[in-house]
Amino acid sequence: MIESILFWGLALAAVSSALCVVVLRNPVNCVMALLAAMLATAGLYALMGATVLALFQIIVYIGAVLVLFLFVVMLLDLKGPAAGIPRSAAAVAVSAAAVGLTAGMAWFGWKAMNLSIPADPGGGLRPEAGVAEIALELFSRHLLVFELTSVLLLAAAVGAVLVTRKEKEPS
Amino acid sequence: MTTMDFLLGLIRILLIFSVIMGLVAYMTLMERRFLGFFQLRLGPNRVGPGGLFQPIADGIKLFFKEDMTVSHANRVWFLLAPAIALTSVLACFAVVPASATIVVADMPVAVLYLLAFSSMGVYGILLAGWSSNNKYSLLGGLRAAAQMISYEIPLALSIVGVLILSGSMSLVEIVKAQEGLWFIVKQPLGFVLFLICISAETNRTPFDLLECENELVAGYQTEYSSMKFGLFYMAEYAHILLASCLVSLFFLGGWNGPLLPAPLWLPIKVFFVFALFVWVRATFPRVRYDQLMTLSWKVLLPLAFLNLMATAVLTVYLT
Repeated sequence: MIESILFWGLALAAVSSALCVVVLRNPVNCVMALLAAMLATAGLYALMGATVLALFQIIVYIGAVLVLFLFVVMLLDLKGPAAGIPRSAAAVAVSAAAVGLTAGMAWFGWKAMNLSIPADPGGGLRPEAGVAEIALELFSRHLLVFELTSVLLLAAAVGAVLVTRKEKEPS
Repeated sequence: MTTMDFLLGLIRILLIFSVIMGLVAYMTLMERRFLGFFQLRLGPNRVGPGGLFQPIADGIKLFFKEDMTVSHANRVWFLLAPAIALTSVLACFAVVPASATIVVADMPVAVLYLLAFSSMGVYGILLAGWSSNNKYSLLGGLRAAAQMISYEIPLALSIVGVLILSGSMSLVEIVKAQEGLWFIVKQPLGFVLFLICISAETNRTPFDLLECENELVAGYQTEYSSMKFGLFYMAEYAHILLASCLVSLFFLGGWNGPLLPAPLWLPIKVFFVFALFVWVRATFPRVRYDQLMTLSWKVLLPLAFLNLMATAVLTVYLT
């Protein structure tokens, strides 16, 4: 009884706040609507018994990603429409690199799929899997993808520093 | 879950909530009296015997102050920001045990839960700064966000050593693993890192740059008045209470201790950790903003990694 009330409440909240992200005009409201959507989704995961997944959803998306979204939106103080896509040699090079990197990751992923991984015992993890089970799965079967993702994130961090770095440091 | 369990859970939540709110009110008095002691003055001692009714007087005063909203504030977020700040801290107390049995919810992943909900407090501060439509508030809010994100990383890493030693993420299990020997002995570096990071997370002096009054008036709370302002203060003190509880639970053995019964040990430890926080506040000057960032990224983070690796390698070798 309580579970179904919670489910319908959370599902309604998730869908309506996701709609708000698209519909609302003020970018800060959009970010906060996205936060509500993430929170409702985390609640749905928790209701399924996937507590670890729900908490990681909150830590990663709400605790880190959306704070930075909000940070940027507040600093920019967006008024007009977004600027067009820049067309420079650097933009082309970056896009090519991104496409190449994605293709490389896809290729490695495909290779990893074809490797002789021991048969999956029960069709993936149960939703109730604890931290230890998820960690074992992550660092054995999905190690390659995990490492590739971390390389991608590192590349993104280096790229962000390069893009925002000013050529001449004001003294 | 039966209805009876549900009701019992609600009663437990209400009980622990009221205890926390009472403690938060009296922590303000304790802090002011301690600061008075450190600065060779008396502190508030006029209301009631020894100033004991001062928090009640403060509460009444806050309720009867005029509740103002600046004219170009974003009203929705201006109203919601203090509520977000307080609820995110109070939610954390759900997994904080007062003893092996007195706890709202003993989750097997309590540490993750704490990290998840304490990281949401930054939204209250960011939104308060932004919605006030005041450049000092906005700067305070942005500083807070940058500071809290930067210190969350060494904070989380400094707990991992404790998690490796106890082999569990449940706070009750972590305290049980410290029977006999407290983790402060095995994790001295982790303890120091955790103490520094958590006092930065609670935005206390020497890390209170977000309300640095000589630059930013009062930072994100400049435009707040009446009980909305009071909610921010409650959030801050609840956060300090949470920090003191966590230091005691992770490193000081929680309710373990000789002679005295278990439910007495945790309050004693929490009291001393809180006194330490006040002592630090009374002693150190505020750091500069670039020093704050340098400390987090270039000192604390490498040390936290070092601590983590050393703990992991030693644990593997010794078992």
